[in-house]
Amino acid sequence: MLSKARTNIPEATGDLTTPEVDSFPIWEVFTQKNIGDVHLHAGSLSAPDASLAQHFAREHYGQDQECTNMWVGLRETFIADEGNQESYEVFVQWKAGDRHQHVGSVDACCGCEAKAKCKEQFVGDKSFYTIWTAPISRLTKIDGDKDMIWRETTDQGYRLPRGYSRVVRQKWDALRAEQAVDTYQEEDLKETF
Amino acid sequence: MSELDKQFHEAIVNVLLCVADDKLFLGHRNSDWTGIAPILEADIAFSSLAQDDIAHAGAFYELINSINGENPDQIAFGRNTSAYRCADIVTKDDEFNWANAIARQFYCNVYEYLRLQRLSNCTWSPLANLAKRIDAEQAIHVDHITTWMEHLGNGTEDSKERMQKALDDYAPYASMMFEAPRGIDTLFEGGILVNEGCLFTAWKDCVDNIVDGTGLTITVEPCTGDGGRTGNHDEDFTRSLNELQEVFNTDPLAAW
Repeated sequence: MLSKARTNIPEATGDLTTPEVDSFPIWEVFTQKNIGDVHLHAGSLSAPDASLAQHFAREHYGQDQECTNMWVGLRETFIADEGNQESYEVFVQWKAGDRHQHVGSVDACCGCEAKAKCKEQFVGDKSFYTIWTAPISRLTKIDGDKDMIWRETTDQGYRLPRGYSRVVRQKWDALRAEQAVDTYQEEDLKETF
Repeated sequence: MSELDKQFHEAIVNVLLCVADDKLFLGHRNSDWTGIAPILEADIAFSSLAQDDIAHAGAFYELINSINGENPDQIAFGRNTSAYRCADIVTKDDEFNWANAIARQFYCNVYEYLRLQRLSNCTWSPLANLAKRIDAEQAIHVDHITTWMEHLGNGTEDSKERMQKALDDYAPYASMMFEAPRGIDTLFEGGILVNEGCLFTAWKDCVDNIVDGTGLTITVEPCTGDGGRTGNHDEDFTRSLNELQEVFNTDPLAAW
């Protein structure tokens, strides 16, 4: 007996996305897990503007990876060489495949200079893969102290695989205790649980 | 006060059911959008908020359990139609029209925020504490939906027109959120809840304020008549309930 909830979904007509949706810019999201930790690259998302990017980031990256701070900025901002004289947050990806890590901030006249200063001040002789920089004025910073970010208030454990599996495991333990698991053991489910 | 006098049990359970049932069914209906919302990130966000609502409902069913000892799963899934206390806006079919889903969410989220704020002032501390905690998260829901209202109101002529139509279509259902739960006067008189004046007026000020500058208008009228809060539900609700009980009814005594 399957749910009929979706039997009335209208048939898709035409293209599934519109040119507007396809051309939403990409935003990069950095999160800080605990106060005092460095900000690490959490991932990216597509959104039409900064305010929706912030909201989407909060739901997408703030829920599964609880954190105390979140920075959101346009991808092109991080890689741009242009810019104005101001403070830049600078991020280093030490090895290919690593997450970009916030290492500090520099004053610079453009992205290019910010990257050079980052290398000079924070990288030195060490090897690295890429450097990202972002003018602070172009980052949306969501501060857990004063802005609404995270749901630390109710138990969100059910969202996590471990939260879910704990419950599943308890149930299996109960089943085993009742010897009801015999029939399952003949199959490979024993391996799974 | 952490102990609640027995004379207030029935009334407070009724008020708690209004909150829990609203959240359970709103979360249930909103999760229909998982996988098919108009843009990927909206899909993820809407699903995440729907999960929140269901978790919040769970917390309120637990609180009811602490009063009457009934199993939270049984309370959530095991009642007859007339024993549910949600306002039928939460189950009003959105016909998979995003504007409808946003209008429903907007009306309900702001209402919930204000209702929880008032419940935070309850003199029975378990409810005050729970309402305070959940209201902090409800603020996130309001913040999120406010952005959508601003975007769709200030978007294109098309988006504004569709949003306005949805707001108008859902207006009569929004009125019914304000049907007073049975027994709430007993709780006011008994000093359990604080009567902070007309909830509808507070809500109307709040929603008007949010749409101010978007060119959208809210035409919701105060509640008249009996509806979901007194167990008089419409067809859309019954359909949602049947759907929700489909699995549960296959074996009501199963341990989940």
